[in-house]
Amino acid sequence: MNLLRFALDNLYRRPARTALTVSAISLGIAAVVALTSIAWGFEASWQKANDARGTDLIVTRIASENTMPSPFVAEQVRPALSALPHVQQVVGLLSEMLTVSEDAPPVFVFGWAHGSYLWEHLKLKDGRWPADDGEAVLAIGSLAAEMLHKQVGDDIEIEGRLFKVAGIFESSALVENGALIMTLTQMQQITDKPGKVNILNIKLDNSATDADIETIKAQVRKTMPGFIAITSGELVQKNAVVRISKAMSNATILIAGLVGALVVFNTMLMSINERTREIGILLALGWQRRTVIKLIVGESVILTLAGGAIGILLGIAIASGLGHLELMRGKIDAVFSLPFLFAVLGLSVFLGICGGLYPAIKAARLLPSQALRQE
Amino acid sequence: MRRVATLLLLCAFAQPGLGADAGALVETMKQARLSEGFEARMEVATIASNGRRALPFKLSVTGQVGKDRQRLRIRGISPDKVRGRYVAAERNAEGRIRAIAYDEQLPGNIEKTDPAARLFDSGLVLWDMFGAWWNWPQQSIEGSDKVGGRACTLMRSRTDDGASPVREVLSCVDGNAKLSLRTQLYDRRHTLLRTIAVKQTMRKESGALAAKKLAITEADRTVTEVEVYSGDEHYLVNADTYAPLDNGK
Repeated sequence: MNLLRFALDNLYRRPARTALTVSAISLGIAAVVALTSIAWGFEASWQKANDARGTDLIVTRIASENTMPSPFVAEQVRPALSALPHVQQVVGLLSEMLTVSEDAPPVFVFGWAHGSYLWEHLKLKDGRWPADDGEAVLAIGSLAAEMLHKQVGDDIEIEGRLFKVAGIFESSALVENGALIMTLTQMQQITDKPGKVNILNIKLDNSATDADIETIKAQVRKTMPGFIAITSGELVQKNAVVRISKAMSNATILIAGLVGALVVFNTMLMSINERTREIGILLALGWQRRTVIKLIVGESVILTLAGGAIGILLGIAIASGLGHLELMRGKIDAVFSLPFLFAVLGLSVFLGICGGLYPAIKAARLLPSQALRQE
Repeated sequence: MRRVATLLLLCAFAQPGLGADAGALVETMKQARLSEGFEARMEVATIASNGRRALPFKLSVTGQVGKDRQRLRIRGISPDKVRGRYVAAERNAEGRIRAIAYDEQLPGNIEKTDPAARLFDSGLVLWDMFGAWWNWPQQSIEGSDKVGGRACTLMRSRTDDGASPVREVLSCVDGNAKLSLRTQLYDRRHTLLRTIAVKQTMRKESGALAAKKLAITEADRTVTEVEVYSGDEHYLVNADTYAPLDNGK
């Protein structure tokens, strides 16, 4: 009988305890997987939205840490930005999260400059785009259309004003699919922010290099006090919600790790206490202490590995399920990367080794004569 | 030697820092309110004492707070019962508040209104929004308390002005956040009129906190929940913003 089979048999001998330990570990791992994938998904969705638009740099106020930075008057900086080398377009964006239906959670409402490059990446599924800057119509994402039960030609009331749905579009970014888009001028009117934007999107020409981007950033910092030029990735990193969700997932990893290690530690300690005579016999038969350590650590690693594998599947199911809840639709786009899932499995093995090491050493230090005397 | 003894006596009998601390706290609160222009859009829901919930409505509050003059304009956003309805008010250096009401649909039809009246059948009162009590001369620190787990200093503000609808205000102020976490307003008979409690806060650009969610509990146990869902700390006040108020002078 090899060591692995022997370890498995030991775990089978106490099926209830093994199942409970695996369940506890799998719940912890599931929480880690679900929270981390949601945090990453949130970050990725915003980044995807910015990248899909083809924005090279974003200019915003320095203090901005909210999902959408605080508004400022675009003309304060737009002329100077347009004059910078390699700058092709400087396009304003104004956005708010608003309740547009009593039956649906708040949605993102974007105001984009009419005719700008921001619209180019969207695929029109039905209807048309706003004809001009002054037309009070909306283009709505396919997910928003589904959530709000709206079709082309329907009315949507936003901040007390009625807008007709002119078109339904599809975007590669979930955050845009769940959003309503109108022209920037319309958005500025309904939010009472004439001339204001949350961010200015900068599109550079094809000849712009990374060094040029750094030069533009430095120039903005130097010549436009109170403003900052950053890449979409940096903007997302600064976002308070992204930072909070990442901190929460890190805290969950820490707590789940500690609890997991303690659960394994407790289980293995109980197991070796019950098997003192058995371990004594094995040592008396000539088993080396190293082999006993391998056996006990092996058992705990099997427990955590099984818990980890089940936890990963459970975490994926939880995160995917949450994304389908009415309240969360259009807001959660969990990202499950293979390296992360393998890292979680690695964490499970690490927990098994940590939790099983002390009980294993304790078992290996037993004197056969004393162990055999134990009832 | 005599000077040292006098100083020791003064120290022993003085109430350390009471007047000075109150003054500093009042000044902090007055400074925190100063704004060249702000806008806050909020959803307001009123729950009657029998638990009946009225249809929530949305408002926009635009304001300008200077040392000598404060102006506020409230605009109903939705639904129909408040849409296009405006209330504007001004508080002058003497502390007098003048308020008018008008409707977008009826231009030129401007009426005087009572600043101490409830707004749109809710617990919101224009008078409270001016925070007039921070300018009253009688201010004292009454101790400390905790609101929602946060420590705050109890400030009592009093006035003898017979025209004031509120004679006494007890605020629990978080000095670091520059925010009153709980404000209790009393009339001349010391009857509690309403309590304004901050339920959730948000950070402003300056780092100070502002109320995101408020609950206003009136004497008859009617509760008005207010949630600020959007705003602008640098609202551009233009010539039209307070035109009806200026024209009505």
